[in-house]
Amino acid sequence: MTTELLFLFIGFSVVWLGIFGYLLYVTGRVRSVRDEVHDLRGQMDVPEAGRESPSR
Amino acid sequence: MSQVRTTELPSPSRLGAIRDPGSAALHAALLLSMGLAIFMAFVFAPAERVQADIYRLLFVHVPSAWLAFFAFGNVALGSVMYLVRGKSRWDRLAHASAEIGVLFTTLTIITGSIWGRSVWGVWWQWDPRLTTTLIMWFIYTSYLALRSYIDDPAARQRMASVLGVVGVVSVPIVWFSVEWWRSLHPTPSITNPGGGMPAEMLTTLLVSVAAFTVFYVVLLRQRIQLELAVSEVGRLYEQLHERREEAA
Repeated sequence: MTTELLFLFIGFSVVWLGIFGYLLYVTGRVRSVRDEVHDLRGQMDVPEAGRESPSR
Repeated sequence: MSQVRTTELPSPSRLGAIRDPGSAALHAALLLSMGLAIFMAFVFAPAERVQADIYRLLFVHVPSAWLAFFAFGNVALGSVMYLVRGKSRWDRLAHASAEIGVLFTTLTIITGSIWGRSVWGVWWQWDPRLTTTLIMWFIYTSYLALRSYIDDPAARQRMASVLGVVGVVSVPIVWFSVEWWRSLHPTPSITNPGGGMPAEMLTTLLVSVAAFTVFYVVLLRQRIQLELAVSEVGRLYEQLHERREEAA
């Protein structure tokens, strides 16, 4: 592989890894925060929309 | 014991990322446009006469730069609207867009540096376009740092909005830097008549820009979902705290 093609490969890899890495990071954060919302609602015994509270 | 008003709480579907049909269509458009952009960048677009294949970095470098400008424009829009209307949703748009803009500016600088190493023989030059882009990057990383530094939400939103409006001045400076000062960068070849770019290259570039723009919309939606979920957690903690105090 020539140096030029190596640079081309690195350039495209950086962009794709950067964008998809960021997307995965944000998606993971959304999931973990939503779990936290679910736990907090459970602690407060707040029914979520479309779901019955276990205590009712 | 206080009653929690459940109507104030967003339903799980509001916090869900890809549950609605519009979101599924957006993700399908993303995959399709990205696949097409990669195919065109490596197969459809011909090799360049002087730079041969390394010029293909253009198809990620320019769309990244375009998205950075677009994202920072949306930061300014969200900031102005927040200052005028005072609604948090505008601030959420500005915050989410700033983070994505910084990501794409970073990618622009990195891909430009790799390209420069191959063509100019150096990783970095204090060229007007590079220097002004770096300054723009510092402005918006400062914006994000400012947001994490101020605890009071109202003060944070107000201060960040002011910086979001002022910071957008850097965008036209970066854009016109190649015309105002002597630069290694070429002047814009798309907007200038007779820019000299062959039709295959120009079509590939426009498809790449479109694909990256779809990606921006996907990232923005996801980032705003995160903002909503975080503010919901904050509200629930406050309510839980109030309940415990009343019970004690």
